[in-house]
Amino acid sequence: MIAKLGIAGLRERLRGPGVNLQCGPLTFSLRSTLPSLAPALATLYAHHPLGCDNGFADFHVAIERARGPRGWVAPQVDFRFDGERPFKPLPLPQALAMLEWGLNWCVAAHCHQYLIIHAASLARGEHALILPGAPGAGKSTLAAALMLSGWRLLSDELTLIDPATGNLSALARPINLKNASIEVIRDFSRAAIFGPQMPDTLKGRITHLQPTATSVERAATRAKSAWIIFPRYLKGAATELTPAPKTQSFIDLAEQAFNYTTLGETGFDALAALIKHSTTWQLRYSRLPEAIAALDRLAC
Amino acid sequence: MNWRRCDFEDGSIFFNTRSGDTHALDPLCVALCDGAAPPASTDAQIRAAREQLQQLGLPTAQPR
Repeated sequence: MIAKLGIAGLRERLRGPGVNLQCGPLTFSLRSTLPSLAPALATLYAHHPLGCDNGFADFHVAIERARGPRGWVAPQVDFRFDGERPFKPLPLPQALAMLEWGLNWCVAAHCHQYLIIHAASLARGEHALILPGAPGAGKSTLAAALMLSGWRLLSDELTLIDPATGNLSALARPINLKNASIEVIRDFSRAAIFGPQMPDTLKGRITHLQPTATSVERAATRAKSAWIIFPRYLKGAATELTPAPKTQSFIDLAEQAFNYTTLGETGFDALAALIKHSTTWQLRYSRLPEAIAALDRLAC
Repeated sequence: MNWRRCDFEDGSIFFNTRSGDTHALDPLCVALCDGAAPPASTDAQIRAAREQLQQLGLPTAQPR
C-alpha cells in the first residue's frame, strides 16, 4: 500500500526505480525528482496497492522539470510517457494536475480493450450508476458526494466497460474538483480528504479528493451498469429525477465515449447492451443532499 | 447488409457497419423501415420520415 511507504520512502522510490501504482486492472509506473509530488501522492493514493516489482507496468510515466532557459524565470514541468513528451509543459505548481491529466490521457488513448466513456461511475454492491456529463453539469461534484455518502467510487472521469461481459472496471483514482465545487464538498462532509489546491490552471482552481478506502480495496469487485443518470446542476432548481428516452441516451453516451468510433461494431454492441440493461434518467438538481437521497431511493 | 440495429421502446438505433455512423430513429421511421403499419401520423410526418430513411440509405418497405 502506498501509505506504508511514507512520504520519504515514496520520494525515494519516485526518484529511483519508480513507484508501481495499481489502479484496478492497470499499473502505472511513476517517476519524478520533484519533491512536491510525494506528499500529494501519499495523500491521494494512500489506500492504493503497489503493483508487482517485476518491471511490468501498463504505462511508464514521469513528471520532471522542463529544460531550457525559461526554467530560470518561470519553472515548468513536462509529462513524459515512454520517454516522449506528448503535451506542452505546464507551470511547476501544476505538476500534480499534469500527472492526473496525463494518466487520464494514457487510459483514454490506449485502453481500447474497453469502451471508455467520459463519465463518473459508482457502485452499490454489484450494481453501478453511470454519470455522464458535459463540463459544468455537476458530474464530479455529485460523484464526490455519492462516494462520501457510502457509494463505492469506480471512476471519476473514465468509465471502463468490458465489451465482452458488460462489467465495469474500477480505477478508483482521485476525484478532480474545480472552483466552487471544492467548498461544496468541503461543506458536505468532514470525511473529505483533499490534495493540494492549484489555482490558475486551464480549468480554473482545482484540487483532488482522495477515494475512500472501500472504493480502492473493493476495486476488483464486479459491477454492472444498472442506472445511467444524466445530471444537470441548475442553481436554485428543485430536485427532479425523470426517465430519459433510451434512444437519445444511446446517442448522448456515444458522444461521450472516447473510442466508440474506434471500436466499430464492438462499441455499438457494448453500448446497446449497456443501455438495454440499465434504466436511464435525467437528474436536475441544486441541493446535493436531495440529489443523493433521490439516487439512494433509486438504488433501493 | 450494412446496418446493425438495436430496438428500444421509444425508437431504434441504427449503426452503419461501413461508415460507423449511428442514427436514432423514432417509431414512425422504424415502422416505415419495417413495412409495418405506421403509428398515427400526418402525411407530412410520413413524407419527412421517408426522406430521412432515404438520406440514410435505409429501405422504406411498403406497409404490410
